[in-house]
Amino acid sequence: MAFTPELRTLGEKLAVPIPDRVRILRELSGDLHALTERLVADGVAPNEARQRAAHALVPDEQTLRALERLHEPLYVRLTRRIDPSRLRTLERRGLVAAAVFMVGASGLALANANVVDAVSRFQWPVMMVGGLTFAAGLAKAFEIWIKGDHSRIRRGLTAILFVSLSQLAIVTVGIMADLYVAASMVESAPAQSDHGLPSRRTGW
Amino acid sequence: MSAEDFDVQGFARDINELLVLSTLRKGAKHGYQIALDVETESNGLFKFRHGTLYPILHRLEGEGLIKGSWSKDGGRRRKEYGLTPTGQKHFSGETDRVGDVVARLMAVLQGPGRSLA
Repeated sequence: MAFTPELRTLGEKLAVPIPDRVRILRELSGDLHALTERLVADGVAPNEARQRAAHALVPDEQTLRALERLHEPLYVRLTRRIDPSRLRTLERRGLVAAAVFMVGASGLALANANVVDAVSRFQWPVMMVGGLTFAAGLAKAFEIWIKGDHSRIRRGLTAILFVSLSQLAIVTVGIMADLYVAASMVESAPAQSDHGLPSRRTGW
Repeated sequence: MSAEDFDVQGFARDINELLVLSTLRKGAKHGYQIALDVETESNGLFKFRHGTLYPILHRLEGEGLIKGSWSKDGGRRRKEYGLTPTGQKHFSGETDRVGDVVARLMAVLQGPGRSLA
């Protein structure tokens, strides 16, 4: 007596954050089964009982909208009065500002640590791609945890994965290239290795 | 209660909420049980159809008038609702208010000079 098709259709229609959706569907599923069992115990035929339970408990469109309003995330409630296109612009500007601040603060910290002159030339590409990864991750986190918009939860994940892997690839290539350069220098001038050629590059 | 206090459109919602609170005075119940009890106790006059019960339950829970808790029954998770002390107090106040509204309505319907009895 599974209500899987009804619950699946409802899950697709119900635009609330995933944790709320799961709780609503779980509650509904429990009640549907319990009511069906109760009706069957009262002598109603199983199919008839199933239909009656669904008719009584499965929300129609109007009820779904009422549930959506009740489970609206706080951010959506607070920003409801702002024009959607204006809100979108404000959100984008906020995210760009946060990403720029993060990259700027990291750059400043590196500069103040006085390692910028000595570190690998791969540092800047890594930082740039890192900034992109941070911005993409921040945008997705904002969408999921602040806006509570889980309707297209997979959107953008491939891009985040791609920039993350790109960063990892640049780091790996950079380490290997730097090690190769350092090894070549030691090999070509072994006497100088004691004077800290590799350490000059790494700052150790 | 002044005229400004009374929301005609919200009255039906208030009645539904009171019906739910009323059934929960006798103890915690699952959603389907609440629906069945309301229907039985009103001799079929009040019925919750198409899941209209859930927005009412979730609103009451959000307002702290009822409290939901999960239990396991035969491997299936079920949600049960119970009345909170705030809900109990709210129920008493709202019952008086609805009684007053109904009395005034009847007075209007029966016309001036006719008794309510």
